[in-house]
Amino acid sequence: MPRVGSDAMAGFRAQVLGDERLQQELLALDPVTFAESASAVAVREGWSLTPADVEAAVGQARREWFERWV
Amino acid sequence: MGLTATEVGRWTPMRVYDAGGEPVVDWCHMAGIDFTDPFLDETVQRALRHPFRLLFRHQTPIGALDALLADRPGLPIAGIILHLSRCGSTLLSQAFGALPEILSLSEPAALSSALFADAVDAVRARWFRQVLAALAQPRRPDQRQAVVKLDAWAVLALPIVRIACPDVPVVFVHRDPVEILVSHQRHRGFHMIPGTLDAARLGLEAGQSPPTDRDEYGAVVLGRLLGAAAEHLDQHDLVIDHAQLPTAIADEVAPHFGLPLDKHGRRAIAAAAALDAKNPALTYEDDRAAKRARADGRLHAFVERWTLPALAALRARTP
Repeated sequence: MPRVGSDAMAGFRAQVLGDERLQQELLALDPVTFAESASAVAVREGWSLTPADVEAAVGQARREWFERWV
Repeated sequence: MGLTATEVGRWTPMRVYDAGGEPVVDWCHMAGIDFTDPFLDETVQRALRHPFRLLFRHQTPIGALDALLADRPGLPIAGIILHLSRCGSTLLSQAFGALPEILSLSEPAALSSALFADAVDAVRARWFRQVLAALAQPRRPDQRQAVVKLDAWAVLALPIVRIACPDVPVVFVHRDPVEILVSHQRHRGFHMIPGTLDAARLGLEAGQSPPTDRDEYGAVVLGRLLGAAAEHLDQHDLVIDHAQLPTAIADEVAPHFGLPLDKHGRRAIAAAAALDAKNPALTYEDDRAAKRARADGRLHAFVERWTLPALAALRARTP
Protein backbone atom coordinates (compact mmCIF):
# COMPACT_ATOMS: atom_id res chain seq x y z
CA MET A 1 0.00 0.00 0.00
CA PRO A 2 1.56 3.36 -1.03
CA ARG A 3 2.05 5.55 2.00
CA VAL A 4 1.59 8.73 -0.05
CA GLY A 5 -1.04 9.96 -2.47
CA SER A 6 -4.71 9.11 -2.64
CA ASP A 7 -4.19 5.54 -1.42
CA ALA A 8 -2.69 6.80 1.83
CA MET A 9 -6.14 7.53 3.27
CA ALA A 10 -7.32 4.03 2.38
CA GLY A 11 -4.24 2.56 4.02
CA PHE A 12 -4.57 4.68 7.13
CA ARG A 13 -8.26 3.79 7.35
CA ALA A 14 -7.49 0.08 7.15
CA GLN A 15 -4.83 0.40 9.84
CA VAL A 16 -7.18 2.28 12.18
CA LEU A 17 -10.02 -0.20 11.69
CA GLY A 18 -7.69 -2.97 12.79
CA ASP A 19 -6.25 -1.15 15.80
CA GLU A 20 -8.44 -0.40 18.79
CA ARG A 21 -5.77 1.78 20.38
CA LEU A 22 -5.73 4.06 17.35
CA GLN A 23 -9.53 4.13 17.31
CA GLN A 24 -9.59 5.33 20.91
CA GLU A 25 -6.93 7.93 20.20
CA LEU A 26 -8.79 9.35 17.20
CA LEU A 27 -12.14 9.26 18.94
CA ALA A 28 -10.70 11.33 21.77
CA LEU A 29 -9.71 14.12 19.39
CA ASP A 30 -11.61 17.38 19.41
CA PRO A 31 -14.07 17.22 16.48
CA VAL A 32 -13.40 20.88 15.67
CA THR A 33 -9.68 20.36 15.07
CA PHE A 34 -10.01 16.73 13.95
CA ALA A 35 -8.47 17.13 10.49
CA GLU A 36 -5.29 18.67 11.81
CA SER A 37 -4.91 16.27 14.74
CA ALA A 38 -5.86 13.14 12.78
CA SER A 39 -3.41 13.97 10.00
CA ALA A 40 -0.68 14.32 12.64
CA VAL A 41 -1.55 10.82 13.90
CA ALA A 42 -1.45 9.52 10.32
CA VAL A 43 1.97 11.07 9.72
CA ARG A 44 3.24 9.57 12.96
CA GLU A 45 2.05 6.17 11.73
CA GLY A 46 3.91 6.67 8.43
CA TRP A 47 1.12 7.87 6.15
CA SER A 48 1.57 11.05 4.16
CA LEU A 49 -1.70 12.82 4.86
CA THR A 50 -2.36 16.52 5.26
CA PRO A 51 -5.20 18.18 7.16
CA ALA A 52 -6.73 18.98 3.76
CA ASP A 53 -6.66 15.28 2.83
CA VAL A 54 -8.50 14.37 6.04
CA GLU A 55 -10.94 17.24 5.63
CA ALA A 56 -11.71 16.09 2.10
CA ALA A 57 -12.22 12.47 3.19
CA VAL A 58 -14.56 13.52 6.01
CA GLY A 59 -16.47 15.75 3.61
CA GLN A 60 -16.85 12.92 1.13
CA ALA A 61 -18.01 10.53 3.86
CA ARG A 62 -20.53 13.08 5.08
CA ARG A 63 -21.81 13.69 1.57
CA GLU A 64 -22.18 9.96 0.90
CA TRP A 65 -24.03 9.51 4.18
CA PHE A 66 -26.47 12.32 3.46
CA GLU A 67 -27.03 11.02 -0.06
CA ARG A 68 -27.55 7.40 0.99
CA TRP A 69 -31.23 7.45 0.02
CA VAL A 70 -30.66 9.19 -3.32
CA MET B 1 -8.66 -5.46 8.50
CA GLY B 2 -12.29 -6.49 8.84
CA LEU B 3 -14.50 -6.36 11.89
CA THR B 4 -13.73 -9.16 14.35
CA ALA B 5 -16.04 -10.98 16.74
CA THR B 6 -14.40 -9.42 19.79
CA GLU B 7 -15.22 -5.92 18.48
CA VAL B 8 -18.91 -6.43 17.71
CA GLY B 9 -19.99 -4.98 21.04
CA ARG B 10 -18.42 -1.64 20.17
CA TRP B 11 -19.87 -1.35 16.68
CA THR B 12 -23.51 -1.12 15.60
CA PRO B 13 -25.12 -1.68 12.21
CA MET B 14 -26.44 1.72 11.19
CA ARG B 15 -27.69 0.62 7.81
CA VAL B 16 -27.83 -2.31 5.44
CA TYR B 17 -27.50 -1.37 1.80
CA ASP B 18 -27.67 -3.00 -1.58
CA ALA B 19 -24.26 -3.22 -3.19
CA GLY B 20 -25.33 -5.14 -6.25
CA GLY B 21 -24.93 -8.57 -4.72
CA GLU B 22 -25.20 -9.61 -1.11
CA PRO B 23 -26.32 -6.66 1.06
CA VAL B 24 -23.60 -4.85 2.98
CA VAL B 25 -23.74 -3.88 6.65
CA ASP B 26 -22.42 -0.39 7.41
CA TRP B 27 -21.14 -0.27 11.01
CA CYS B 28 -20.71 2.76 13.26
CA HIS B 29 -18.35 2.83 16.25
CA MET B 30 -20.80 3.30 19.12
CA ALA B 31 -18.74 2.51 22.22
CA GLY B 32 -19.82 4.77 25.06
CA ILE B 33 -23.01 5.91 23.34
CA ASP B 34 -26.28 5.00 25.01
CA PHE B 35 -29.35 4.42 22.86
CA THR B 36 -31.58 6.93 24.63
CA ASP B 37 -32.92 8.97 21.73
CA PRO B 38 -36.53 8.43 20.65
CA PHE B 39 -35.24 6.82 17.43
CA LEU B 40 -32.02 4.91 16.81
CA ASP B 41 -31.38 6.99 13.69
CA GLU B 42 -31.17 10.05 15.93
CA THR B 43 -28.56 8.28 18.04
CA VAL B 44 -26.61 7.44 14.90
CA GLN B 45 -26.79 11.05 13.72
CA ARG B 46 -25.57 12.17 17.14
CA ALA B 47 -22.66 9.72 16.94
CA LEU B 48 -21.75 10.84 13.44
CA ARG B 49 -21.18 14.38 14.63
CA HIS B 50 -17.68 13.18 15.48
CA PRO B 51 -15.68 12.98 12.24
CA PHE B 52 -13.95 9.79 13.40
CA ARG B 53 -17.21 7.85 13.17
CA LEU B 54 -17.95 9.17 9.71
CA LEU B 55 -14.48 8.42 8.40
CA PHE B 56 -13.77 5.04 9.97
CA ARG B 57 -16.59 2.56 9.37
CA HIS B 58 -16.52 -1.17 8.88
CA GLN B 59 -18.42 -2.49 5.87
CA THR B 60 -19.11 -6.22 5.95
CA PRO B 61 -21.18 -8.50 3.74
CA ILE B 62 -24.33 -9.46 5.62
CA GLY B 63 -23.29 -13.10 5.34
CA ALA B 64 -20.37 -12.38 7.67
CA LEU B 65 -22.73 -11.78 10.58
CA ASP B 66 -23.11 -15.48 11.36
CA ALA B 67 -19.44 -15.89 12.22
CA LEU B 68 -19.19 -12.50 13.93
CA LEU B 69 -22.11 -13.21 16.22
CA ALA B 70 -21.54 -16.90 16.91
CA ASP B 71 -20.24 -16.17 20.40
CA ARG B 72 -22.08 -12.88 20.91
CA PRO B 73 -25.75 -13.51 20.10
CA GLY B 74 -26.86 -10.25 21.71
CA LEU B 75 -29.40 -9.68 24.45
CA PRO B 76 -32.54 -11.82 24.44
CA ILE B 77 -35.41 -9.98 22.77
CA ALA B 78 -38.20 -9.47 25.32
CA GLY B 79 -40.72 -8.11 22.85
CA ILE B 80 -41.38 -6.59 19.46
CA ILE B 81 -43.49 -3.44 19.05
CA LEU B 82 -45.45 -3.07 15.82
CA HIS B 83 -47.64 -0.08 15.18
CA LEU B 84 -49.63 2.13 12.88
CA SER B 85 -47.39 5.21 13.40
CA ARG B 86 -48.26 8.30 15.50
CA CYS B 87 -50.07 6.08 17.97
CA GLY B 88 -47.90 5.89 21.09
CA SER B 89 -45.35 3.30 20.00
CA THR B 90 -42.46 5.66 20.67
CA LEU B 91 -43.84 6.16 24.15
CA LEU B 92 -43.65 2.39 24.62
CA SER B 93 -40.06 2.18 23.44
CA GLN B 94 -39.03 5.18 25.54
CA ALA B 95 -40.79 3.75 28.59
CA PHE B 96 -39.03 0.39 28.30
CA GLY B 97 -35.75 2.15 27.60
CA ALA B 98 -36.18 3.93 30.93
CA LEU B 99 -35.73 0.57 32.66
CA PRO B 100 -32.03 0.06 33.45
CA GLU B 101 -32.10 -3.60 32.43
CA ILE B 102 -33.63 -2.94 29.00
CA LEU B 103 -31.94 -1.93 25.77
CA SER B 104 -34.60 -0.22 23.67
CA LEU B 105 -34.07 -0.26 19.92
CA SER B 106 -36.39 2.17 18.18
CA GLU B 107 -36.94 1.71 14.44
CA PRO B 108 -33.42 0.68 13.43
CA ALA B 109 -33.09 1.40 9.72
CA ALA B 110 -30.79 -1.61 9.27
CA LEU B 111 -33.56 -3.94 10.45
CA SER B 112 -36.08 -2.63 7.93
CA SER B 113 -33.56 -3.00 5.14
CA ALA B 114 -32.93 -6.63 6.11
CA LEU B 115 -36.64 -7.31 6.48
CA PHE B 116 -37.53 -5.95 3.05
CA ALA B 117 -34.40 -7.06 1.21
CA ASP B 118 -34.80 -8.58 -2.23
CA ALA B 119 -34.46 -12.24 -1.20
CA VAL B 120 -36.58 -15.26 -0.40
CA ASP B 121 -38.42 -15.31 2.94
CA ALA B 122 -36.01 -17.66 4.71
CA VAL B 123 -33.03 -15.51 3.78
CA ARG B 124 -34.76 -12.29 4.81
CA ALA B 125 -35.63 -13.89 8.14
CA ARG B 126 -32.04 -14.99 8.68
CA TRP B 127 -30.72 -11.52 7.84
CA PHE B 128 -33.33 -9.92 10.11
CA ARG B 129 -32.34 -12.19 13.00
CA GLN B 130 -28.62 -11.57 12.48
CA VAL B 131 -28.93 -7.79 12.19
CA LEU B 132 -31.14 -7.75 15.28
CA ALA B 133 -28.52 -9.74 17.20
CA ALA B 134 -25.86 -7.25 16.14
CA LEU B 135 -28.05 -4.35 17.24
CA ALA B 136 -28.91 -6.03 20.54
CA GLN B 137 -25.38 -6.04 21.91
CA PRO B 138 -25.57 -4.55 25.42
CA ARG B 139 -24.72 -0.86 25.64
CA ARG B 140 -24.38 -0.96 29.42
CA PRO B 141 -23.35 -3.78 31.78
CA ASP B 142 -26.75 -3.79 33.54
CA GLN B 143 -28.78 -4.41 30.40
CA ARG B 144 -30.30 -7.91 30.33
CA GLN B 145 -32.93 -7.86 27.57
CA ALA B 146 -33.87 -5.81 24.53
CA VAL B 147 -37.17 -4.45 23.26
CA VAL B 148 -37.37 -3.54 19.60
CA LYS B 149 -39.82 -1.22 17.90
CA LEU B 150 -39.96 -1.74 14.15
CA ASP B 151 -40.99 0.72 11.46
CA ALA B 152 -44.73 1.03 10.90
CA TRP B 153 -44.61 -0.84 7.60
CA ALA B 154 -42.90 -3.86 9.21
CA VAL B 155 -46.32 -5.32 9.97
CA LEU B 156 -46.54 -6.06 6.25
CA ALA B 157 -43.68 -8.53 6.78
CA LEU B 158 -44.82 -9.94 10.12
CA PRO B 159 -44.61 -13.55 8.82
CA ILE B 160 -40.88 -12.98 8.19
CA VAL B 161 -40.46 -11.56 11.69
CA ARG B 162 -42.18 -14.69 13.06
CA ILE B 163 -39.75 -16.95 11.22
CA ALA B 164 -36.84 -14.93 12.59
CA CYS B 165 -38.14 -14.60 16.16
CA PRO B 166 -40.74 -17.35 16.62
CA ASP B 167 -41.07 -17.10 20.39
CA VAL B 168 -40.83 -13.35 20.88
CA PRO B 169 -44.03 -11.64 22.10
CA VAL B 170 -45.52 -9.05 19.77
CA VAL B 171 -47.61 -6.01 20.58
CA PHE B 172 -49.43 -3.98 17.93
CA VAL B 173 -50.39 -0.40 18.78
CA HIS B 174 -53.04 1.45 16.84
CA ARG B 175 -55.10 4.62 17.07
CA ASP B 176 -58.07 6.34 15.52
CA PRO B 177 -56.87 6.67 11.89
CA VAL B 178 -58.31 10.20 11.71
CA GLU B 179 -55.94 11.33 14.46
CA ILE B 180 -53.04 9.59 12.74
CA LEU B 181 -53.74 11.25 9.40
CA VAL B 182 -53.98 14.68 11.02
CA SER B 183 -50.57 14.07 12.58
CA HIS B 184 -49.13 13.11 9.19
CA GLN B 185 -50.62 16.24 7.62
CA ARG B 186 -48.26 18.25 9.82
CA HIS B 187 -45.19 16.12 9.23
CA ARG B 188 -45.49 13.11 6.96
CA GLY B 189 -43.73 9.93 7.89
CA PHE B 190 -41.55 8.13 5.36
CA HIS B 191 -44.18 5.53 4.55
CA MET B 192 -46.83 8.20 3.97
CA ILE B 193 -44.94 9.70 1.05
CA PRO B 194 -46.14 8.22 -2.24
CA GLY B 195 -43.54 5.99 -3.83
CA THR B 196 -41.73 4.88 -0.69
CA LEU B 197 -43.77 1.66 -0.44
CA ASP B 198 -44.31 -0.14 -3.71
CA ALA B 199 -47.84 -0.55 -5.01
CA ALA B 200 -47.84 -4.32 -4.49
CA ARG B 201 -47.15 -3.86 -0.80
CA LEU B 202 -50.10 -1.48 -0.61
CA GLY B 203 -52.36 -4.22 -1.91
CA LEU B 204 -53.06 -2.40 -5.14
CA GLU B 205 -53.69 -4.50 -8.20
CA ALA B 206 -51.39 -4.40 -11.23
CA GLY B 207 -51.98 -1.21 -13.15
CA GLN B 208 -53.97 0.36 -10.33
CA SER B 209 -52.46 3.70 -9.39
CA PRO B 210 -52.35 4.88 -5.79
CA PRO B 211 -54.45 7.96 -5.02
CA THR B 212 -52.82 11.26 -5.92
CA ASP B 213 -54.37 13.03 -2.92
CA ARG B 214 -51.82 12.75 -0.12
CA ASP B 215 -54.40 12.36 2.61
CA GLU B 216 -56.20 9.65 0.70
CA TYR B 217 -52.88 7.98 -0.01
CA GLY B 218 -52.18 8.04 3.74
CA ALA B 219 -55.55 6.41 4.38
CA VAL B 220 -54.71 3.68 1.86
CA VAL B 221 -51.41 3.02 3.66
CA LEU B 222 -53.09 2.89 7.07
CA GLY B 223 -55.75 0.56 5.70
CA ARG B 224 -53.10 -1.74 4.31
CA LEU B 225 -51.16 -1.77 7.61
CA LEU B 226 -54.37 -2.49 9.52
CA GLY B 227 -55.25 -5.21 7.04
CA ALA B 228 -51.85 -6.84 7.49
CA ALA B 229 -52.27 -6.67 11.26
CA ALA B 230 -55.70 -8.28 11.03
CA GLU B 231 -54.29 -10.98 8.77
CA HIS B 232 -51.07 -11.79 10.61
CA LEU B 233 -51.69 -11.15 14.31
CA ASP B 234 -52.93 -14.10 16.32
CA GLN B 235 -54.41 -14.79 19.72
CA HIS B 236 -50.98 -14.74 21.37
CA ASP B 237 -50.33 -11.16 20.33
CA LEU B 238 -51.37 -8.11 22.26
CA VAL B 239 -53.30 -5.30 20.56
CA ILE B 240 -53.30 -1.92 22.27
CA ASP B 241 -55.28 1.17 21.38
CA HIS B 242 -53.57 4.53 21.91
CA ALA B 243 -56.41 5.42 24.29
CA GLN B 244 -55.17 2.68 26.66
CA LEU B 245 -51.79 4.41 27.07
CA PRO B 246 -49.89 5.00 29.23
CA THR B 247 -51.62 2.71 31.75
CA ALA B 248 -51.33 -0.31 29.49
CA ILE B 249 -47.53 -0.11 29.37
CA ALA B 250 -47.04 -1.38 32.90
CA ASP B 251 -50.33 -3.24 33.23
CA GLU B 252 -50.48 -5.11 29.92
CA VAL B 253 -47.42 -4.73 27.70
CA ALA B 254 -44.76 -5.37 30.35
CA PRO B 255 -46.43 -8.62 31.51
CA HIS B 256 -46.92 -9.62 27.87
CA PHE B 257 -43.16 -9.17 27.34
CA GLY B 258 -42.44 -11.12 30.55
CA LEU B 259 -40.91 -8.08 32.22
CA PRO B 260 -41.62 -8.01 35.95
CA LEU B 261 -41.89 -4.45 37.24
CA ASP B 262 -41.07 -3.43 40.79
CA LYS B 263 -42.02 -0.01 42.14
CA HIS B 264 -38.84 1.50 40.68
CA GLY B 265 -39.70 0.13 37.25
CA ARG B 266 -43.24 1.47 37.46
CA ARG B 267 -41.90 4.85 38.51
CA ALA B 268 -39.43 4.91 35.65
CA ILE B 269 -42.18 4.11 33.17
CA ALA B 270 -44.50 6.72 34.66
CA ALA B 271 -41.74 9.33 34.46
CA ALA B 272 -41.10 8.50 30.79
CA ALA B 273 -44.83 8.62 30.06
CA ALA B 274 -45.07 12.11 31.50
CA LEU B 275 -42.83 13.39 28.72
CA ASP B 276 -43.40 13.91 25.02
CA ALA B 277 -41.94 10.64 23.68
CA LYS B 278 -40.54 12.21 20.51
CA ASN B 279 -39.23 15.29 22.26
CA PRO B 280 -38.55 14.42 25.91
CA ALA B 281 -37.62 18.03 26.62
CA LEU B 282 -41.38 18.69 26.58
CA THR B 283 -44.12 17.29 28.78
CA TYR B 284 -46.76 15.05 27.23
CA GLU B 285 -50.02 16.65 26.19
CA ASP B 286 -53.09 14.69 25.16
CA ASP B 287 -53.85 16.08 21.71
CA ARG B 288 -56.55 13.64 20.64
CA ALA B 289 -59.39 16.16 20.79
CA ALA B 290 -57.33 18.81 18.98
CA LYS B 291 -56.47 16.36 16.24
CA ARG B 292 -60.08 15.28 15.77
CA ALA B 293 -61.13 18.94 15.64
CA ARG B 294 -58.71 19.54 12.75
CA ALA B 295 -60.13 16.71 10.65
CA ASP B 296 -62.60 17.75 7.95
CA GLY B 297 -65.29 15.70 6.24
CA ARG B 298 -62.94 14.79 3.42
CA LEU B 299 -60.49 13.15 5.83
CA HIS B 300 -63.30 11.27 7.55
CA ALA B 301 -64.48 9.99 4.17
CA PHE B 302 -61.01 8.69 3.30
CA VAL B 303 -60.77 6.95 6.66
CA GLU B 304 -64.18 5.41 6.26
CA ARG B 305 -63.41 4.15 2.79
CA TRP B 306 -59.89 2.82 3.28
CA THR B 307 -59.35 1.96 6.93
CA LEU B 308 -62.55 1.14 8.77
CA PRO B 309 -63.13 -2.30 7.21
CA ALA B 310 -59.58 -3.34 8.15
CA LEU B 311 -59.93 -1.87 11.62
CA ALA B 312 -63.14 -3.82 12.10
CA ALA B 313 -61.38 -6.98 10.93
CA LEU B 314 -58.56 -6.36 13.39
CA ARG B 315 -60.99 -5.87 16.24
CA ALA B 316 -62.83 -9.03 15.24
CA ARG B 317 -59.59 -11.02 15.26
CA THR B 318 -58.32 -9.79 18.61
CA PRO B 319 -59.99 -9.68 22.02
